[in-house]
Order: sequence, then structure tokens, then C-alpha cells
Amino acid sequence: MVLGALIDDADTGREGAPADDRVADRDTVQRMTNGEPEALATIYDQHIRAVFGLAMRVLQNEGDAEDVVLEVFSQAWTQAKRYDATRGSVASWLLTITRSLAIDRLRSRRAGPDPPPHPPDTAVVELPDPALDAEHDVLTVASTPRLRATLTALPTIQRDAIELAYFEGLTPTQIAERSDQPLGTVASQIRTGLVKLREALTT
Amino acid sequence: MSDPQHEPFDQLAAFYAMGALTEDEQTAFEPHLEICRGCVREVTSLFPVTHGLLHTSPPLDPPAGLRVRVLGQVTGTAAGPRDTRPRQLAPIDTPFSALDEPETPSLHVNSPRRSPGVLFWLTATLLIAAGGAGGWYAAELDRQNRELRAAVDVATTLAERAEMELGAARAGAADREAVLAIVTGPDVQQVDLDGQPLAPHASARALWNDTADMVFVTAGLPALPAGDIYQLWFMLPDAPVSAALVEPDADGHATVIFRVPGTVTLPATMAITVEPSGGMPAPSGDIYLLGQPTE
Repeated sequence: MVLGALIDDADTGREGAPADDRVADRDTVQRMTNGEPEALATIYDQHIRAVFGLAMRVLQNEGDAEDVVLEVFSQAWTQAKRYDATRGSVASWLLTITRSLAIDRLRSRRAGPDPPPHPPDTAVVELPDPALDAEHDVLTVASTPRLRATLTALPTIQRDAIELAYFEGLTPTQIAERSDQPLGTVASQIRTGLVKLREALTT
Repeated sequence: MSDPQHEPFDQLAAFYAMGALTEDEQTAFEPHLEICRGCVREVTSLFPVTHGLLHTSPPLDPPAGLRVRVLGQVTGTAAGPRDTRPRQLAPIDTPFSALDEPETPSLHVNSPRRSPGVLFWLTATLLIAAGGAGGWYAAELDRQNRELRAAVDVATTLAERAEMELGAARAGAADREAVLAIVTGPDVQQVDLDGQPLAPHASARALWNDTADMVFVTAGLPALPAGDIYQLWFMLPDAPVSAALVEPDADGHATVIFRVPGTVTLPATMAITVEPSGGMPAPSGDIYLLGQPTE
């Protein structure tokens, strides 16, 4: 079975995205490294809905999300040579950049007019996680419907804590304060939720 | 995980995998990651989850005009109007000397260090006409300021990533050194395990020497459903003794180093069974690998 055939179309914001699109994406990024503007337009058209959806989920503000989208595609354009297809799909690459930039912006917004010089963030900017390879990436993406369903079905305390950490970049202490829960409880709930999500990926 | 050295870091691995630790927490956690195989395993096992979460946001249609804006500003090939809504502009407090750093990386293709194209002048003209030259100049400085900040953030993040990789690499190097110490040590002995009907293509080898440590290397083990795990046993005449839990990678490979219990006399018959996650005190599942010492 071709692993790419398992890709969930909704994950990239596209309808009917076949496995071949992943190969086409890689070729298109390669053309971006040659400075072909049409290649960026193609990548934009293929992934903008997913990128904008994630930016909106993090920022909850259309203007900020637009600015992040601009930064994402600027970074993709200038760093196309650094894209490594063996480490993940183009969609994952773009979404990783999107999350990182959006959380940076969110943290700056929280900090007020003078953002901290080095916002703490371990989110990956350059590439998807090095622990992953392309095959893992495909499997992970293929499991997205299950992951999404499992996330929705998690107990509220677990889901909220995971979303605050992952999509709002809150630290354990900040989550504990916001949810009025002991720090240990928050940590435990997040870990329990993540383990359930992991099981969703492997079943 | 009952190690007192581990307790202060208990459950931080999940936050680390999510990129949700503060800088101080991360700085404190990473040295621990170098010495705690459990935390390395935890972080590694959770990365696919945190990676998968990227894809769970519902796709949304972007506002009209964003495409033109993005392509226009990034590649300079499509003339698109800039966003006319109020933007949140950070104070322009970056020293001009910083903006003039020749080697500062830029995240935008339309860097001011490149020759301005038609779009640049067209956009500038429109902005000057709409808001005055001062407004354009302030916006342009602000854009450069944000680019520089973004470049610094990227560099910082990459440095943090490199540190994390270094920690994991050091842990991996320590493991490899331990394996080499056993395999290349004097009087190394081994027991080979053969795949059983449930895993005919699997194989494994247990190696030990005069130390109390054993290396167990296996390949070709099939993936297990969630909630199950492979468990290695010394099949002693009186009763089986648990040796280790084995978690193969996606290709069925695993290398495990563990201390041989003092009650075990080597060589001994060894077996791998499938047990519920966390392991069992005695084998209860099917045997996947079995090996007996050779004379």
C-alpha cells in the first residue's frame, strides 16, 4: 500500500490531494530554490488554507494571522534550500514554521509593546522534528482524523491544557494559573492526554 | 522513574516535546535529558504526537487579497495592494547601525539590500501618496526591525534545537560506548534467538562478558498494537526472570542494555514474549523469539 495514499486531504486544506501531490510539492520547493516565483504561487495555493487555519487557531486575529502567513511564505521562499524531504512533507514544514511564528507573535502580544528579546520557544523553525522521517510524517498525517477525534474526545481538562501549551505557547506554570489547577495536576493531565493521542497514532 | 535525580524533572518531558517550557526550565531540563534514558524515550515517543497536532486545525479560506499581497511582497512578481488596515507596529527603536549590518540575515526576499524592483517603487509611490513619505519610512523601518527580530529568533531557536540534538546525541553516544564495552570486552559470550512462528523473520542476539551488563540486539520484530510491549526473559528452570522491556523502532530494530539480575546464571535460555504495556512479572503472552545457549 502506498503510504502517501493515506494522507488525509483535510489536513492540508485540500480536497482530493493524492500521494503524487507530495512528490509534486517537493519538486515545487526545488523550483523555489531556483527563484521561480510561480513555484511559490503553487505552494501557496496548495497549502494556504492549512497555514491560515493554523495561524488563526493560534492567534484568533485575522490581521495577525495574515502577517504570519506573509512571514511563513517569506521564510519558505528564502529557506527553500534547507527543506529536507526526507524529514517530512512540505505541509508539515510549512505548518511547523507557521506555529513557531504564530506563537512568537502571540507571546509578543501578551508581553505588551516591548516584546522580550528572545521569546522562549523550542518549536522548530527550520524543519520538522529531526526525530521524524518522511515515513513517520506520512503515517502521522494519515492518522490525523483519528488524532483530531481523540483530541476532541479527551476530557476537557486534558484537552484544554494541551491546547494552551501547544497552540498558545503557555508554560506549565501559566497553564496552572489560568486553569486554577495545581502544577502537578496540569502536568499529569497533559501527559495523560498526550499518551492517549499517541495511542491514536499507533492504532 | 523513582530515581530521586529524576523526580524534579518528572513529567517535564511532555512539555519539552511540546515546546512549552520556559527558557529557564528548558535550560534546567536539557542536562537531565543527557543522563536520563527514560526522559529521552518519553520525548522521542511524544514527538510524533506534537508533530501530528500541527495538522489538526481546520483549514480556513484566507481573506481575498492575501495571495496578491504575499506573492507580491515575497517575490515581487505580483503587484498587490498592501494591507490598508491599521497594523500593530512596534516602536522603532532599533539603532540605524543595526539595520546597516551587512551580514544580517533577512527573512524576506524584498530585502532593502537588494536592488529595488518595479513593485518596490510602485508600492512606495502608492504608500507615499496615501499616507505621506513619513508614514512609508516608518513602516519600512518597522518592517526591517521585525525582520531583524525574526532573524534573531530563528537563530535562537536553531541554537536551542542544536543543543537538544546534542543532548540526545550524547545520550546515544553513551549507549553506544556501553555496547562497545561489552561487545569488545574479553570473553564475550552470546545467545542467538530465532524467530518463532508469530515472527518468522525476526532474530536477536544477546551478548555479555564478565561484567554484569548484557546487550540485546534484535531485528525484524513486527509492530505491536497499542497497549502491548515485548518483554525479554531468562527462562530459568525454577521460574522465568524478567530481563528487560524491548521497544523496537518502526523497522523492528531494537538495542537494549541492561543489568543481569544477580539470581541469573549465564548462559541461560532466553525468550521474548508479548505482554501488556509495562510488562508482567511472569510471561503470559505468545513467544516471538527463543534462544538456547550452545555448548
